[in-house]
Amino acid sequence: MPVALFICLILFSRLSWSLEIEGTYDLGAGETRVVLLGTQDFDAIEPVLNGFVDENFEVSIRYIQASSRAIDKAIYKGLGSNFDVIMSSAVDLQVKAVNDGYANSLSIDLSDATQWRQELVQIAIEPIVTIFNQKLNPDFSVIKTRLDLIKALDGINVKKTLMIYDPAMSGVGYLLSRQDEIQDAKFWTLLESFKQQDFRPVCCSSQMIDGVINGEADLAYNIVESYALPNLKEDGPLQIIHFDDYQIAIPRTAFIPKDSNQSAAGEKFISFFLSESGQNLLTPSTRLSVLDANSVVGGPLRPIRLSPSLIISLDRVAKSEFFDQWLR
Amino acid sequence: MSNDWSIRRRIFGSWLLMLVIVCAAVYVGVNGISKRSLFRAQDSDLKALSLVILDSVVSTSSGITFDLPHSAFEVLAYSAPERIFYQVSANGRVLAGYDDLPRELSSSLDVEFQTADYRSEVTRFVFASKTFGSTAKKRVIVVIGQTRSSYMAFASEIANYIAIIVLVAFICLAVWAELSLRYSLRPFFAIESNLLSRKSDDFSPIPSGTPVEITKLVDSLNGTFEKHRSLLEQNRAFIAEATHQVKTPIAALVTMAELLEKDAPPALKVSVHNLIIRSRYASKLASQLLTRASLTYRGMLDVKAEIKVSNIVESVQKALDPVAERKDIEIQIELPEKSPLIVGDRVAIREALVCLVDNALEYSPVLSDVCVRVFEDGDQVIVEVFDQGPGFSEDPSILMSAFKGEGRHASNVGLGLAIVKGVAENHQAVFELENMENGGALCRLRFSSV
Repeated sequence: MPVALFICLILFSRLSWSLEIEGTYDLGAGETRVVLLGTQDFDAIEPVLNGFVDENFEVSIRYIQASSRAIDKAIYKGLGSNFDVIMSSAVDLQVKAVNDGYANSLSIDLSDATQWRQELVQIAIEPIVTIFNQKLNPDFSVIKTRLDLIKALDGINVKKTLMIYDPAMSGVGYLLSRQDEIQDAKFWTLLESFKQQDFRPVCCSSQMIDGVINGEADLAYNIVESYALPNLKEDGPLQIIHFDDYQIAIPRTAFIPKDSNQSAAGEKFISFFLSESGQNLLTPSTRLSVLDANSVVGGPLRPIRLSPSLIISLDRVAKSEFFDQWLR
Repeated sequence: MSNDWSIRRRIFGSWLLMLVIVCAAVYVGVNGISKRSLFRAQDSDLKALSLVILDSVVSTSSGITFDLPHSAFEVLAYSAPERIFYQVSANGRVLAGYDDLPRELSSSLDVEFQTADYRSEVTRFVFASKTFGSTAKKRVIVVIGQTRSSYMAFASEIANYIAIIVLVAFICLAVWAELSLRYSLRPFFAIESNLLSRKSDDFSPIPSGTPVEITKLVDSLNGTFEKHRSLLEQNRAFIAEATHQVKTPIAALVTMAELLEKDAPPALKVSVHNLIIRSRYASKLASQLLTRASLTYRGMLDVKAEIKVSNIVESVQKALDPVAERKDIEIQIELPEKSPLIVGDRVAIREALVCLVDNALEYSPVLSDVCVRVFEDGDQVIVEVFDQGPGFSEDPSILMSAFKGEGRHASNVGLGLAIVKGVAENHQAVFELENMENGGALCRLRFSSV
């Protein structure tokens, strides 16, 4: 036992060495230790983790929170086998990891779930919205489409302050802007009209939310809805726009790394996450059932498809081409 | 018999073998064909994507630019849940995509395909190349790779389906074959039941209406019947002829010896008397021999009917009374009130009883009784013949076994007991011999009653 503990310590120290960890959390007291690596804030995912250990006494969970980039680095350094489930909202990086052969095949029945190759599975959904300060901009409440937004910004004397995830700083920002570009031929026109205003790409969602609430920004384009929702108060300054033309949704995906030690328990965790009891522990707006309500083809909610075409956007050539246009 | 075999089993054995071979061949064949066509479709998808990228290449003074069209990759991604790899290089320098893809094999062709293991999975690669620029030539190579496990799974799924269809078709055919086999074997069963139900003296040919395939078999069977019939006919004629031919000279011999005895000088009288006894014995032996032969023939014909035992006994008594009177012996018969019935050949049983009574008369002293008793014991009808003579000099069981061979005792007894034994066997009756307590021999026949 001491030897094993020693090896564990060495491994763990090596791990913390190569992986920028934002937090480590242990739950449950079962003998089987499942190590989960995820991007989501522990507070947001804790109910699901608790629900899982409550249902499975034999399992205990170690949840390691890290950024999607750190996770990506760890996978390509070959550290994936230290974890049993890797969950991330950076769907492009997740798809690339699976495409490059770092995932195990899942033996659970995923026929009803959105999945790719029976290896990568969508476990939750993050709809993307636009927020604005309704105290400062009451006119914005009529905006229903992006064309409405372009029109509303057109011919304004005082420049509006507009915030967006900076694709150069945020992986999510890049993913969202690329999806907009793929989805909408008028994306660059929209960006042109943004650039006519006081256009501020920022790093984080908190900056956008705070900016809109305290009036520093008039509008923030493309923000994860579940981050904005807690700040939505009656008669508060923050208001949400759900676009009618289309609304991107980022899938939170999970896969089991190759050579994971507890792949069976990992699969059990994924099954629980996908089950009704697991989904019910999520913030309502991020449950997969949200998609059912929009299941009409061509409906406004467009979750990013789990497709290997996503890896093209990660290519240095594609990136430089995109940033050429972004900075033009 | 271990040499027996079944037509049906043989046919189905060969069918089963054929089924296995055909199913395996169909599976392998269909798998190959569908794999080929699926792989060809994959190749053309890969080629299309590589050409789309190659077509977007623009050579500028600073280098080359090209597009990685999202929608084209999306089309490939939609075609199958496979991993996709790509690479764009110019003069060997990788500009985009995976650095470690396999290298092109030859450089002569514009489009080339290669299957290789990449990242531990079988992957199909297309290499598309084109040279740009007039002065500073740039050879641009686009490589697109896609794994093919789902194509292989799909191909074997198709092969499975087809093999199952073949299997079902074969089973249907097998059921059909079984039915038609049963139908075409029907004439054989008809012949079989005809042969089984046939009486042994029935030599009529098998009724016509048999399939042409077995005409020869039926013909040869009918031929065999005919041969047997004529053989039996010849036998019957021979026995009748022999009866006549043998009996007549012996009878003449006896008569002449009797005549000779009267005129014979006293010195020869004893010898002549012996001659008479011997020739009488020869006459008896000849007639017994013929009786036995004709009874064997009758036994083969199986001419059995329900007969009344009492009638036979009475007829035997009537026939042998003259012989008995010569020795002043009385043949007594004890019959039950109601005559028991047995199934058998009337002539054979009568002959058997004649032999028994004749034997008894032979060995009985003058002025004694020979008794024939008939009674029922449970489900058996018992006929006993006993006398007041000296009994069997030998152990009766040895006597019984002696009939099988030509043992020396036969000369004393003649063929009588052998005939009785043959008749008993032919009627599934039990033939017993014993010496009675007060002397005298007892012969018993146990028939089963009707």
